[in-house]
Amino acid sequence: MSQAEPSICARAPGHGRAALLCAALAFLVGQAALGLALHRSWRVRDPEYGMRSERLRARLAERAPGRPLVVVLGTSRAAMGVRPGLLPANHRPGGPGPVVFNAGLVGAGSLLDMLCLRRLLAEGFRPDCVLIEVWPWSLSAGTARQLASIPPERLAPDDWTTLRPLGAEPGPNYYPWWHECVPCLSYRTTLLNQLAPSWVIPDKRQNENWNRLDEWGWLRRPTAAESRTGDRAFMNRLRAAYAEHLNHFAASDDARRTYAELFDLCRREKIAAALFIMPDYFLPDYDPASREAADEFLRRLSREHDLPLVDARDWASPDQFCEGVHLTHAGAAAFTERFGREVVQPYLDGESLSRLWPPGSLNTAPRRGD
Amino acid sequence: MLFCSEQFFLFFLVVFAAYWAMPWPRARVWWLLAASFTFYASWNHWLALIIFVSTSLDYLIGRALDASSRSRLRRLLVGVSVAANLGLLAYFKYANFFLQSLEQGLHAAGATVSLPVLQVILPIGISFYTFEAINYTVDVYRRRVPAERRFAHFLLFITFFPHLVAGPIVRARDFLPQIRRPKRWDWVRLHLGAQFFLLGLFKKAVIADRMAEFADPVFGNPGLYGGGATWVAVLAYALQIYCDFSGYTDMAIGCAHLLGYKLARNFDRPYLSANPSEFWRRWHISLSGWLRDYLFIPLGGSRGGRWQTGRNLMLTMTLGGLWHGASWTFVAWGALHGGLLVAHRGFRSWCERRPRLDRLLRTSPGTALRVATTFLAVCAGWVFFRATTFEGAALIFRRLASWRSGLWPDESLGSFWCLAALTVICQVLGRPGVWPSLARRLPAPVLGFGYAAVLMLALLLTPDGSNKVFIYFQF
Repeated sequence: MSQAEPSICARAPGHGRAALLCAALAFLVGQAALGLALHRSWRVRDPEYGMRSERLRARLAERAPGRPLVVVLGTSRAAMGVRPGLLPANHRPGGPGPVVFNAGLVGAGSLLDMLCLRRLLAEGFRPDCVLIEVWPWSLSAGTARQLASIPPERLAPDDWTTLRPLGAEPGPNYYPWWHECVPCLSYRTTLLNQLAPSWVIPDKRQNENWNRLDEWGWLRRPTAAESRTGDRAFMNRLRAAYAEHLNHFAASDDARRTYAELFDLCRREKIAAALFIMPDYFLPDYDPASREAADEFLRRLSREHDLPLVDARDWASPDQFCEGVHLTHAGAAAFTERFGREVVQPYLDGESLSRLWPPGSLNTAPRRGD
Repeated sequence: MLFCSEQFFLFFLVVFAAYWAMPWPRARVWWLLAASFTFYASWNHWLALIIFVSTSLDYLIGRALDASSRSRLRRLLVGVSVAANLGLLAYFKYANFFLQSLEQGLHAAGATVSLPVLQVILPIGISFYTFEAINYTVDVYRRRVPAERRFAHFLLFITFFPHLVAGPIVRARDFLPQIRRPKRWDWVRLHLGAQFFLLGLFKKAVIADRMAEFADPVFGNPGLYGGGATWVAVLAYALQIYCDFSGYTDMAIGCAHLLGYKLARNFDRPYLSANPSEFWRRWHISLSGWLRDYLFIPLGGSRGGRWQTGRNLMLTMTLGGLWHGASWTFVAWGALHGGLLVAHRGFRSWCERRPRLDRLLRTSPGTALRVATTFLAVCAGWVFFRATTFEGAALIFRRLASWRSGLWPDESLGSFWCLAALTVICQVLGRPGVWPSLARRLPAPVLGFGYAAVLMLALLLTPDGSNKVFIYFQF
């Protein structure tokens, strides 16, 4: 458009006025429609959670009311490592059985675990048991650091009622009313990640966190198909990058407090809970003092809240890790088979997880016949 | 506060609503002044104080120039104003550059000295507002404009927030009378302003920032990429800088129209220029006009012989290059354009003596060839403009000239070609009369829906990150 004089750009003042008013109206209607969609659907606001919630609803719809529901909460290690679709319990022959579902979220810590459970409850899901993955490396992050890693547009106004008591406050540039007024700007990263991910700048691209999510909540990343742990140079680089975590364990008070709240919530809602630790490739690389500190923290957390603790850190062989943190597809299958056999199935069969995995102690195998 | 940020949208909404709600013209001027200082202070409070002090000095000098008839005193006053403005620019923008260059020169000569590095922040937009202040005092000195009597009006001329940080460079004779003129709500003008703002936002958010994804990795590490990726990066940067800067200018012009002001045009489809001289009449028009009127013509312009004209062109363009940034690569960029202008003058006079060739070059294929050649020459200049070192620029040129394989950008090339095609469509629509006649024929609801769609698309594609800073903000 050339920088023409006003007189030649519009046919008459009436035409310009009508065009501008129509534009304003169309824009407002568009924003209102988008705002409504964001309010009504987690799929639009937080696709990673929303797609899991949709799949869980679909799985529950296939079962009779009253069937047991077991939900796995945790980080991407759990999201990519637990394949409920392979559990026999989810495919029990001869009728509707229980539902075991993976609700792990990428980058989760205690804060996102808490949010995830709150949202599930608010949506009407009533888990009978939650299996909560605790990852020692994530425990050092305080509330502010955990919150900083959650894009604010993923959070609904109701989420703040969960977050505020945990000491989480929105940053100075977060204006909830503005977010809701102009959603196509405020939620642009989320929306673009869904509509045209290749237009999102690479470090804000999140669609891999929900693309290829299977119907039981397992995140099937194509990059995790093969193991790279045979590449020594690559693994040494990773080891150097993770040195801080391997050599210095420090649990923040915030993480401890958030977990305490999460366990209290489970107790109030009469949800059975158990803690588990995912396989850890770097287990031999820990500084002994650091590992002992992490172990002691986990034992104490489990003991204080009287929760079973499953130590699955050595349940996978090195070639079952794709890059030392997440399990390969085959590794996830093998891990899930054992996890199902030694944790999920006993719970579904009515056994006490606290007896099999006594609180306050780190056991890599269930205590049977005691 | 960037034009494509949430903060600016909110800020402008408040300024716009309150401005038109005020019935008193004088209150509107003060309101715009307050808004302009708030806008500038959003970067740094102290820098707002600097602009206030330097503007006050220029105001007083302007008044004194107007009142005095003694030529020696007037010359002294204009000299003080020019020196103060250029001194401010030199201190904040070039002091460290000159110190570092001096140190490197001394090292090359074998001396071991270590010159200090000044801890100064570059006041945003300083290159623009100092040039505006200089054009005012020089024009008052030349008695081409009367000195502004009202301090608030003069302050608004310099600090009017749409043009404050990245131009266009406004002239006192164009802008000051507009401040005095009473403003009335005018739908035609609002329509025009909204069109400009939308167009600018779209150029910046959709095209420029996307093109940066193709250009930045290659210019950041040219050794890793092959010839194909380097060509894509150079073309992407050519589109990025055009859409970034002209997008900013369009938004500035749009904001000004929405407040009842008209800013100078700054771009006129520059990549369709058939020669370097035409390019500079279509690219950053307000700067090239300023350089012509306040540097090239005072140096003698083209009144002397071929050599004097060539010297004046080289000097003007080299200083123009230095104006863009405190780096020798900018100087080289300016010198390259000076060389292109001199070469074009020589080629033109050579062609004038060969009428058949001249006619051939004026046919459609000949014009297409000239446009393509000019575009490639301009792209070569952008390599110096974008590269931070001569080594980097040389590596880019080597890659451009080779078929060496290497990495490709992470991004899909589909969006590159889509956006390049979109830029071409915008250029076609930008031909005089094309867009206005189309807009006239479209029913208002269709036009309105189109505006809303463009706005939503631009907002949706506004990048969420640090790369949305306008390139020309650093100048």
